[in-house]
Formats: sequence, C-alpha cells, structure tokens
Amino acid sequence: MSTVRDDLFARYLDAVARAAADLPSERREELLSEIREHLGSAERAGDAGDEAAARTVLDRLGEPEEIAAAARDEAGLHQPGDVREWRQPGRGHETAAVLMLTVGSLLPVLGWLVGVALLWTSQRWRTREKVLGTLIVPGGPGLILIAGAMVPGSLTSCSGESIDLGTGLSTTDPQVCTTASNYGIGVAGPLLLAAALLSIMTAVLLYVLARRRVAAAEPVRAVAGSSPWGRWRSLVCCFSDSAGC
Amino acid sequence: MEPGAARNPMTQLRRGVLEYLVLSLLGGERHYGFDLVRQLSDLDGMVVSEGTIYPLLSRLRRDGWVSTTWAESGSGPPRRYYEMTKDGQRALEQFSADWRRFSSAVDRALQAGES
Repeated sequence: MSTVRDDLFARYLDAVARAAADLPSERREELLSEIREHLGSAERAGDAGDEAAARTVLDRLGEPEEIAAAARDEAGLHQPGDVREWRQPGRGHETAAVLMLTVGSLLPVLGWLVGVALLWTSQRWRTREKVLGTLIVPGGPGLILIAGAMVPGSLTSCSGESIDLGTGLSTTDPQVCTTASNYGIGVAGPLLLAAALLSIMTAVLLYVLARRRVAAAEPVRAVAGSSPWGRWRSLVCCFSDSAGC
Repeated sequence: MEPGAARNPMTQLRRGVLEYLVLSLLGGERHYGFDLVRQLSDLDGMVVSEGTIYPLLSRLRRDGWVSTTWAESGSGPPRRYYEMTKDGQRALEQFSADWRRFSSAVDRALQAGES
C-alpha cells in the first residue's frame, strides 16, 4: 500500500516540477520542498493511509499546473500563452518611427522625413524626446553615410596611392594627400562616425523608452525571467505585426 | 487570470483578501505550513487549491510580512514554521480597518437597494 502512495506522491512532485520548469531554480526548489513537506505532514497526520486517502490529499493540493501558475503569479512572471504584451495598440507606430529614422534615412531625406513624421505623431514620447530625436541627427545616419562619401578625400589614407572620392580619380600626389588629410581621417571621418553612432543610439533610446511605456500602460507583469524564445518571438511579432501575435 | 473570472468579483475578492486571512490565522504564534493550509481550506469557499497557498506564503516571506524558522522534527526531516512579523501585523491591522469600512459600505448600499 505504502509503495502505491509513495509512487503517487513521487509522480505528483514530478508533475509539479515539470509545470514549474520555467521558474527560477531557487523558487522551483523552494516550492517543491514545501509540497514535499506537505505530503510528509499528511502522511504523519494519517491522512494518506490508503490509496484513496492519498489521492484525496493530492486533489486538495490541486493541479500541478495551477500551483505552478500561482508561483509564476507571485514571482511576477508571464504565464505561458499570455500574449497581452505584444498585442499593444500602436506599438508598431513607434517601431516604424525608429526604423525610418535609422535604416529609412538611407533613402536620402525622404526616408528620414517619414521617420520624423512618425516620431512627432506618436503618443508615447514626450516633446523633449521628440526634439532630441529630430536634432540628433538631422537626416539620420543614412545622410551621414552619404555625406561621408561626398566629403573630398575623407576616406583617403596617406600612405601611397589614394582614391579621391570626390572626383573618383586615383592620385599619389603628396600635396593632395596632405591637403586631404586635413579633412580626412583626421577630422571628418571620426566626426561623421561619431554623429552616425549618436544618431543610432538616440533612436535606440527612443525605442526603449516607448517599449517601457507600452509595457507600463497595461497591468501586464514585467518580463523578468521569461524565456529567450519568448522574448525573440515578441520582437519578431513586433516587427511583422502578424495575426499570430 | 482564468477565463470567465473577469466578471466574477468573488474570485478577485478572494485573491485580494487571502494573504490577510493567512496573516490573521498566523496570529501571534508559529504554525507548520501544513496546519495553516488545512485551516485555510476549511474556511468555507476560500481556497480551491491548497498547493497555491505555498507560493503565497513565499511571497509574504519575501515581502517581510512572514518569517520562517526550521524546527528539528524527531521523526523525519526538519519542518518549516511560519510566523507573522511586525510589518505583517501592521499590514493586517491596516487591512482590518479598511475591510470594516469597505464591507459596511457594501452592506449599506445593498440594504438601501433592497428597501
């Protein structure tokens, strides 16, 4: 008789462990030790004398999945299948804005302007953030890249042959090289690179701000400890806006 | 949230008050988890699944409202004792006052509706 009961209890504990697999291991272990202790106490109290009584004890404890769900709830984690986080109205708006301001700026001026329009029509950024997003940097990283290609000699090196990008002519003229080096790697190159990086960082910052506000607007728990797969899915859904999200 | 629970206020109410019932049952003494859980589930209609009390107790511990100690048990592994902390006591008193106000307001409103 006792082996039947032990078997039942062991299988129940396994089921709880499986249901709670996505909990942080410390919490899961704590939960399992508490359930184990509960079962031990039930045995000692004589509540699990035969198989029927043992099953009653397990019934009263409840479904393993329910217990795991309660543990997730108290830990502030997402429940599996909880899709509320990425069904936020208007989040695609902010994503599109950030994309147009960065990648879209490769389409000279027009792409960036679309990004700006989306930036300013968003409800999720404060005015000063929108100003920052517009001023750092006007035209976006795309324009900076294009400007970098246009500044004469900005990509030349001074050791031997060099290509003047402004004219497309190859030259080994030391004079040109010297002059170019005044505009070139020495100044314009790093400046433009820094500007491009700043521009991208601002866009990323805006995106992060928007995401945080979207998450805070609804009573959805924080994504602490959610699986990497879950987070990747939410990112993909966010960009594709597909029905499955 | 279970589907369908959205419109049933009792489910929400139960979830809201459960932690204070735990505190109240603890009182000023130490209890084994098993005894506590059984007492709670004996309260009419309060607890559907005993196992879900343990995560609640864990959270109360993390919030500092409950503390646990281990007691050596002669026949078997050490067992966990739970007891309420001062912070827990304060929280319980606050809830008690809030609940009295709330429940009498609900009672008055329901009575007014009946007459």
